[in-house]
Amino acid sequence: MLVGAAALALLGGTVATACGSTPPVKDVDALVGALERARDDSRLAGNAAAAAAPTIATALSVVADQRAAHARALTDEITRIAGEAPTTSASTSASSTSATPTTSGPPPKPPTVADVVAALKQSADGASLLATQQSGYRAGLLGSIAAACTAAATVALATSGVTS
Amino acid sequence: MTSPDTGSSTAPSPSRPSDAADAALFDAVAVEHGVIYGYGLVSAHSTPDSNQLVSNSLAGHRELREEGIHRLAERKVTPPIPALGYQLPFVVDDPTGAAKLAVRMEEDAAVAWRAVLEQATAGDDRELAVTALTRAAVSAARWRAVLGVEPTTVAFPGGND
Repeated sequence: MLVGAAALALLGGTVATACGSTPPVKDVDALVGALERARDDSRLAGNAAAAAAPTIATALSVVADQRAAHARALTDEITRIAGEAPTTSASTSASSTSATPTTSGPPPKPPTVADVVAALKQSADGASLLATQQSGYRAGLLGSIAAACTAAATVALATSGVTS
Repeated sequence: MTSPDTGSSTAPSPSRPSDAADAALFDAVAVEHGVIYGYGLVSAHSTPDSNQLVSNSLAGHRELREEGIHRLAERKVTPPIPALGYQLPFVVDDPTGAAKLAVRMEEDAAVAWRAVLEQATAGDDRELAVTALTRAAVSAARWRAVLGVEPTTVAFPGGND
């Protein structure tokens, strides 16, 4: 699990460039990617909650809320470093051109808890990697997001009577 | 959580390094010393149902502490030593108190490792910190489940974004 010290010298030089006051465009792009994942997960968990049994629906709603909180924090950070609010495919709930339409009712085939768990694990992996490539507050924020996704996938959605 | 019992609340001897990245790692190791001490009490007062959780958590913290010490030593930084004793935030004399202490310690570990993550200048220190932060978040959630606390998770482990 723990990595050896060998990579230290390799990575030490490259990551230092990410500390400037004007971060490269790729930093913003990376954060926008994390933002879109947070929104997607929130929507997925919300849709799954709407169709789930009450016992697990509560846990799914918590996941939806937490991923929405991640989206807000990422939006704030992107706005701060880019000087403007992020333009993504689904800016806010009012967007009519979102990639995945947010309808009022659950979709015909609602997502399952397993779908949400799988999405969260992917999001955790992505945020973990991104956290090691960023620095300062951004690294910390992404690390907390990764930790939250893993805890949600392996504890919150597992202790609610789901075995997978 | 478990704060050092000896002397004032200033840094334990050896002195805290001035470099921010080293200092954060130094602090994290000091926190891990306290967590490992605290898990002894948690272990003593937990029910057998929590044995696996106690031993897994403790093993994880030992691993993180040793890795942190190793990395500090590589940079010629003298790592912190365990305090002679630790002051508990509340009385721990039953399984509920034990689980509460465990939650508190995991939350404090998350804060310490997020600081390492934010201060680090090396990618592999960030990897270590993300691993530690994730473990702390997962363990805290498991202990909240033991306590029956809902929800078991928080949106920003180690922070309040």
